[in-house]
Amino acid sequence: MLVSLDHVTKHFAPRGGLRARGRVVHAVEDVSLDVVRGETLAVVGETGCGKSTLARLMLRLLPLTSGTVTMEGRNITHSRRRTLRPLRREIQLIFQDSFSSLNPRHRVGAIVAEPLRIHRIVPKPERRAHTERLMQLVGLPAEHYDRYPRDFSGGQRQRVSIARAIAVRPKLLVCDEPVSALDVSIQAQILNLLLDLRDELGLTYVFISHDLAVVRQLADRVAVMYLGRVVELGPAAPMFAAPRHPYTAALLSATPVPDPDPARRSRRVVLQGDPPSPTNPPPGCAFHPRCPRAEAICATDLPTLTDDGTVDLVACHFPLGPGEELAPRAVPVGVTTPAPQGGNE
Amino acid sequence: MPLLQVSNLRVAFPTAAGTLQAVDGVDFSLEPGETLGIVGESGSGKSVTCLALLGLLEGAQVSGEALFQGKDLFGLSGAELRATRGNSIGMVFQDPLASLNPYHRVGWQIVEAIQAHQHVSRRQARARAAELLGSVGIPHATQRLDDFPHQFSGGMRQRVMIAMALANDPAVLIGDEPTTALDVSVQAQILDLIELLQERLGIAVILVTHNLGVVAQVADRVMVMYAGRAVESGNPEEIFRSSAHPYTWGLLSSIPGLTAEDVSAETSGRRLRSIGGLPPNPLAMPAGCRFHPRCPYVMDICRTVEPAYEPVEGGVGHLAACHLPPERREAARLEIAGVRRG
Repeated sequence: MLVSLDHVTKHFAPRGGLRARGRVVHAVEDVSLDVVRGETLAVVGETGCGKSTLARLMLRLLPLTSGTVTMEGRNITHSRRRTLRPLRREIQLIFQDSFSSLNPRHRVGAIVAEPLRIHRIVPKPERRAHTERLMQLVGLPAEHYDRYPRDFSGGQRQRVSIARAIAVRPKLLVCDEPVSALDVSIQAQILNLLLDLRDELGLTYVFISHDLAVVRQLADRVAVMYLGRVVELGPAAPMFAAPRHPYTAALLSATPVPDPDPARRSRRVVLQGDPPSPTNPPPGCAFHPRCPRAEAICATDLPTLTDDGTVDLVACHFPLGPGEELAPRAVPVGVTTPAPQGGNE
Repeated sequence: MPLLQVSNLRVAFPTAAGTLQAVDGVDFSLEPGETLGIVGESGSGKSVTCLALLGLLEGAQVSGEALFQGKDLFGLSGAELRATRGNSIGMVFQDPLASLNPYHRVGWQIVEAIQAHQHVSRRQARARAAELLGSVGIPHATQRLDDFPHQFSGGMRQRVMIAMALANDPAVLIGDEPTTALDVSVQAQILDLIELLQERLGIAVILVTHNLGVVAQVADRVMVMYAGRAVESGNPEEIFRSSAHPYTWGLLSSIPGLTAEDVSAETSGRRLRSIGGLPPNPLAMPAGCRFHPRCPYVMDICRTVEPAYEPVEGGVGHLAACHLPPERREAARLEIAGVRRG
């Protein structure tokens, strides 16, 4: 076990101190997860589900409200900065926006070399050669050592971020939406690079994404989050073939697939409404106001992620059975027809 | 007769480093009630094409012809253009927060859009605004007229934008990445809404997007753009199942599969067949076919001679710009697609 989260909760207090008017944001609620060495664990969910906060808690970049984080058997929940520093070498982070995560005033060679210097990994005389090897490893020409981030395209800048992250030979790479800002052909190049590096360097990935197709390509295991909680957790292939949580099933059916088959569209289940606000989560199961299968119990009792002997754990009172498809609610939300008006020519 | 006929559209931006030819000779037409999807990556010219039609490109050199309801949009005076835009052509952009004025209530903004084109009283315009909000699925429409944009969620704001675009019963709705900023569950709602409104109102839609999945779902016809040119167009069957252009093959094979139909257990965790290299620098476009430096089937002729944009054998209005002989195309297409679909 590389990293373990045990009943981790993170609440953000409203800003403004005593005069604060807002409510507490329930970003992550009671999440327990293990990251197994060598695996790729994907955390998926929509905006505001807490997936990025979860990644930052895992790295202890944010203090926890409650719960524990264990890394390689050591409890690091309350570790101080100085104790964390050697551990930070083991975990690296890649962000979505390579514009804001690369210093625009530094040359890319210096950016990639910086962790080598800070963690004293390579002695100074060998540093440049080592950095150039890292650049080549991620598919950047070594001649680009003296260029600035602005001279690169989005995909190339993401390669710089990856080179910097692997410079310290981490065990775990946490990728927060690493390909979301990239065009599809470039996205494929970066996904391929991440796959290659995983094999070459024996990396473990935690992959945060809203894109289920990307997750499908990369992940061994998937945690689906909704409003701060993990609602389904299991191996990727069976989950994508037969999701058990209605939310997972709805996400899968709403993801547009480049295939014009009309049969696919008729099977689509479109969730009504917006995801609820994390400042005011609904009682019971947070998904119940949008769930086509919700019953009375869902509005009152919180379903937990229970180990019922299957590999695919689900937090739902009425999970989908094997081969069962999510059916839409009978009554669609009303959309009225605007009356055509006259005299508009 | 098509509702909109665009011929030889060229858009150039003068820059300090030279003239940037963002769109270089694009032709397409739009039939009444039809949905045309324009797909391409960043810098392909898809958004610029739409903005040019709307006359929204300040300082650009636009040439060509865009016949809309018998009039050339590029030949209109300022006043004529303002009378068309927002009236018979509605538009929706990616970021509704940037398109709506944060200081005004949404009702006021829709009323303004109506009164810009129709001589109606405030009261009538307000009633129409409430009716429009209801028609795009916003609950309690009359009360919500008095809310500010920040009081709506992202999906609801995009519904407000659609309501505003439909305010004057347009013949065409142009959407530039209208669902890109939205979560998938909300995106699905907005796509359903556009389709529903289109069926009820009979308007034509031009949907510009980078998302091939979205296009496959809603388009009647698809145009693929690369480096300022249209490289292929056809119906969704033709584009997604029997495409004739190597760039389209590469795009399709770059997209990871989602369900068991698209991906078998053995192919997940394997490399995607991506397109090598990067899109060309728009200030130094390659000679011949602009895709040739990245094309796995490049031939000598591709480096010098620009391929004609011509009908594909056996297609229904299927056009492609590629030198590859038709008899080699199918095998090449399967070779690229086969890596994933095995």
